[in-house]
Amino acid sequence: MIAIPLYVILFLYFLFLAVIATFVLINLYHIVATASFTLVSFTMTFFIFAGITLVLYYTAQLLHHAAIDWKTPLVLFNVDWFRTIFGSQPF
Amino acid sequence: MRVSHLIKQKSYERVVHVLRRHPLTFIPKILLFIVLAVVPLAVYGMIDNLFPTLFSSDAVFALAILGGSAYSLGVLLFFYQQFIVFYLDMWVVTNDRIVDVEQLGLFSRTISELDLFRIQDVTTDVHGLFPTLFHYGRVTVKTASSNINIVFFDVARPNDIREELIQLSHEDRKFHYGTAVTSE
Repeated sequence: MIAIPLYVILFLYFLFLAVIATFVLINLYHIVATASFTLVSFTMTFFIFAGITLVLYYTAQLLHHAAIDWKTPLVLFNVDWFRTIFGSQPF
Repeated sequence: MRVSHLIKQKSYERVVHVLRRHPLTFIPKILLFIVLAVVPLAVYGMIDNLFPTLFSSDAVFALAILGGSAYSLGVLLFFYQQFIVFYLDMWVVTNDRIVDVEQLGLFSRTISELDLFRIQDVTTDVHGLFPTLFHYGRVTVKTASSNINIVFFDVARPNDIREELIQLSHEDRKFHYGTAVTSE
């Protein structure tokens, strides 16, 4: 059986957040570097940042209220899954 | 940064227009964003109906929350990038030249420019229901050289822009050659 603790997924999520933050900053840099920081681009940037803040807030709230035990093992592969695949009896 | 800095404006140069695509052309992207944003809710509703006990497990619940969150952030980033590609396509028209800034992707941009006195032909294309109703379309600026053409995609009031470009081109010819070249 191959299992990882649940917090590994949380770390992967944080890594993904870092990638998202990098790309958002690159987009922001493009707006500034091409003299396109206008009311329209400001509004869109505000909307995106507000959206990101809301998603992160609700993610944190849901995870907090669920009181998840992050040490719970997450089974990635288990031989037993295949033992019963052709019937109820193991080989 | 200002437009004058972006195009390295010359002392005698005056910015006449900063053109961007018509806002209506961004609406399909907004609709796509709305559809993509609704997908997690629809998937959640479907799973909750088909497998009501699935989310009772700690691991599955955490995975669903983190997955949904990552998806939503990805959709927001995708939408922001679509906006950048849409909004950063711009054409700066001065009394001396046209600067075409094309944002092709996050790491791909093309900047080309064309002297107004080289313009030989300006064509406008307005095709379709929405472009006709809302007065936007394509303006193609051609020069004698076959490889230097600039196209303004989906700009508002293409006919006014065409007339203005021809006028500016005549004035620039006067400046460069001392006399205007009149078309037949």
